[in-house]
Amino acid sequence: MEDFSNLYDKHIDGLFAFGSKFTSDREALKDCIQDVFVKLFTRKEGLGAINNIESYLYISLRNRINDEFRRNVKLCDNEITDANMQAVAEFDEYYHERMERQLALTDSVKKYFEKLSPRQRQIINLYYLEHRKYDDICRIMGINYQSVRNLMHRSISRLREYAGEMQIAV
Amino acid sequence: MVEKNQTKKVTPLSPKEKEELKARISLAISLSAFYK
Repeated sequence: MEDFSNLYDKHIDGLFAFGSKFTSDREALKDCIQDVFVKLFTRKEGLGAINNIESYLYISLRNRINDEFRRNVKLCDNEITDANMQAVAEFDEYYHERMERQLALTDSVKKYFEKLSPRQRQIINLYYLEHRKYDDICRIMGINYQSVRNLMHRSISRLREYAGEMQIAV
Repeated sequence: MVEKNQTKKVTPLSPKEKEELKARISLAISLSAFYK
């Protein structure tokens, strides 16, 4: 149970803040968080098969809240759909901030990386640093395949513009 | 009134709530494992 304790202590504040973007029912949100941890720690495959436990926790919670919304429309103040991405975008900022701390970016690269929007930074992180496939990115970001491609293209173009200004090749 | 696309403000979990939830989840994991 030590793994659970560490994981819980590390992520509970972030998970609760993330979940509260979708629902103001704190007791129902606690139940959803409980379900996510129980499911994770009773998997037949164990934790080893999960590449990124942090992503797993957040995506599972989002899905769990969404499931609950479908069962009980009172839980969610906002259904989590492609058309309602405001709260998800806020999560992207949380996610990016955590990811960014993990990156060993040089000062010059970091300077123009920070000029990207939170969504652009997230997709660059997912694709180039986490080596995620496009299908995976669709799932994590909650957008369709074409939107992922478009966002990636815009992000790279923007990075090239900044790099050009600074006479650095990207 | 809560506008569309805007949730009511939810205060973070207190240390006591966090400990209670942790104990609750820990027990649920143990029970699930036991009854599996």
